Amino acid sequence: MGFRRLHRPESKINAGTMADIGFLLLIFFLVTSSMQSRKNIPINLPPNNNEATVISEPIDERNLLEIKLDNDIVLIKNQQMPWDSIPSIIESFVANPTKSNQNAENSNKALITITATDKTPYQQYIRLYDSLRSGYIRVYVVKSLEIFNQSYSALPSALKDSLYKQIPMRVAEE
Amino acid sequence: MSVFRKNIKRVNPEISTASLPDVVFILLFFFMVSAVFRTTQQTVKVNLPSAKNSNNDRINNQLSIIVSTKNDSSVCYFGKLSGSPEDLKSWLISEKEQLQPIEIEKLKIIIRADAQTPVGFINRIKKSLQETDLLQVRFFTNHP
Repeated sequence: MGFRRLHRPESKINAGTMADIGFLLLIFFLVTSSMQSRKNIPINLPPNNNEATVISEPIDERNLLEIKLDNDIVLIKNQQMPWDSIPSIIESFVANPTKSNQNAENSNKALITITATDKTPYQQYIRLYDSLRSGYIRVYVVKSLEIFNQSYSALPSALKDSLYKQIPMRVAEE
Repeated sequence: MSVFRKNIKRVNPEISTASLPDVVFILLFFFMVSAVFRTTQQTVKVNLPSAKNSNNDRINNQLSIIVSTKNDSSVCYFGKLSGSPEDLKSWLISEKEQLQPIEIEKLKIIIRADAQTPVGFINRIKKSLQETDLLQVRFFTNHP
């Protein structure tokens, strides 16, 4: 009927770079988004007092380290101590390298008790646990060289677990 | 019938995909903007305490408790509920009922508490946990 199809040159835009843009965005969001932290301090609560499973063992005075916490004041054996000194106090108490009869007679017999006042902020309570753990880590560093002849940081997790079993961190709270 | 010719040479029509990126971008921006609005409405602001010597292990079976503290008053958030540490018990019991005994053995209680929460409040939570026989607690911390 006289309509003739016009032959236009077809315009093509290269869409091949789409994938690049997609990846770029993906990587950007992966990097900028913050993963939810898994960092935690584990504690095991004692069983409920009503149960008959509570075993009372007599504890020698020298195996006991009493720590009291009120706001940011730490009392160890009723003496105020600076925060920085806690790890070394814990280390000498637990490991007892000088075999003093003031400190624990055996590393696995050491018991630390914590008494915190109700008003103490949770931050200070976690800070105290953090200090206790760094004291214990010092003990582990020395012991892993002694027992396994390997540095603590390079220790495989199975050996670490056996180390934790040999010297458990025993903390009681009131 | 000779009008319908059977062997017309058809030109394969090509669809231009050049506008596809625009469509994807619009979708992306739409979801980004709408997602941000929803989360800001629902979050509880918790400023975790910082600790250097914290574990970084994977926890599989968990129940999460969030404690937010604002102007000296603390609230627990658990599941879709909120309330005092004593309200926790009935929720913990109902959660425990849905689990197998082996799962309960491995169950960890995650506590994300604000750094300013008084320890007395945390102790009340611990008491509720003890009374429901859930003893493995993980205090979540921030790296300083």
